[in-house]
Amino acid sequence: MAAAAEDVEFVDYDRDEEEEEDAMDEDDRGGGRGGRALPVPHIVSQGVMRSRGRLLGRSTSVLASNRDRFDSLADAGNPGHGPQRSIEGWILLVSGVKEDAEEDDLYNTFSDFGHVKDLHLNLGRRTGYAKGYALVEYESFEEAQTAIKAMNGTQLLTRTVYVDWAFSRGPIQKLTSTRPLHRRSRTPPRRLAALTC
Amino acid sequence: MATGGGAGEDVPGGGEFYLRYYVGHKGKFGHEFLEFEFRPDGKLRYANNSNYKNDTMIRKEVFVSPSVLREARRIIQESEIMKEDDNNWPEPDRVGRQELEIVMGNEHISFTTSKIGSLVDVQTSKDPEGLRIFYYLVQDLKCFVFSLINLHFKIKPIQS
Repeated sequence: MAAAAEDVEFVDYDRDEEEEEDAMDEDDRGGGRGGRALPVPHIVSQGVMRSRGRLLGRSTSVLASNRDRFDSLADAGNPGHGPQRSIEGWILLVSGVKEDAEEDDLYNTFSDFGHVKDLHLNLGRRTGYAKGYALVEYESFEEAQTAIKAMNGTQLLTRTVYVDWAFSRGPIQKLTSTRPLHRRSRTPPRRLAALTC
Repeated sequence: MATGGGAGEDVPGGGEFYLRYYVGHKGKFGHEFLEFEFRPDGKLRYANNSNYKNDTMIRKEVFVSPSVLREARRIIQESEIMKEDDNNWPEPDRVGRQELEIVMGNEHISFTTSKIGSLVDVQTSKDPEGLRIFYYLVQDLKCFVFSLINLHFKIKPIQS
């Protein structure tokens, strides 16, 4: 089992205060050096100007491991693009949901495009009102796609909602994102490369 | 964007983004924890280890769409956690530890504190306002991730 190795890796929190102060001073001076401490090292944070927190440079995460196997539904040999099917159907994310929306509102609206197999309308823990998103499950790709086409950018309870696939078959392609690159023309090329690797 | 939020880092899918949350402790049943992260390329990783009744570690991963990342960013942005500091939060202790690491726009936070049982712990801390933001944000993020994992894999993540 890997448990023993993890125990060793985890940070000892009984260190004295002074050591922590030192670590923080370093980060203040270093201006972006905190980025190096990320468990996922390829997130080169040259653009990070401000780093804060007692954990900087000290975190280790089991998630950073490339050795452990993480279960996935993806077709291993064929990552590609486009939506990823979930185990029992196709999941959509609805964003821009009004805070006083109720499950029935979502259910009724999205039932127009097929049988809604599952629906999560999560509430903000502080307010008790809808957090602003919903997750909707359809059995078939066609139902889900129809719902996206019909509902994306339309009004639901006087708010514009956006509807999109929740899961993808492969990584997000940064360079082909909708973001207009010319708006950030001062970005050094090396940083762009870092973001897309 | 509908949130009417901040400046350039609000560009959908634009800018750097990374999120990791950990909560766990070591005790009678070994190292028990829950951890998840969103990577900038959309990879969502989730791990949950409970040794109770010889449970094995659950490790799941899936790529989420840019829309899902954008929603995670929105939740973080609206919480204003990036303005906080963990200097006066309770230190991690034997009962447990939480870690919250976020890179967004040009800021990187890497916070740690003890487990928070309830709002009473928040009120009696040295930084109730900051800790309250953390307390609610963590619950909202867990809720989001649990729904994603639950719907995608049809497993029920354990509240830890």
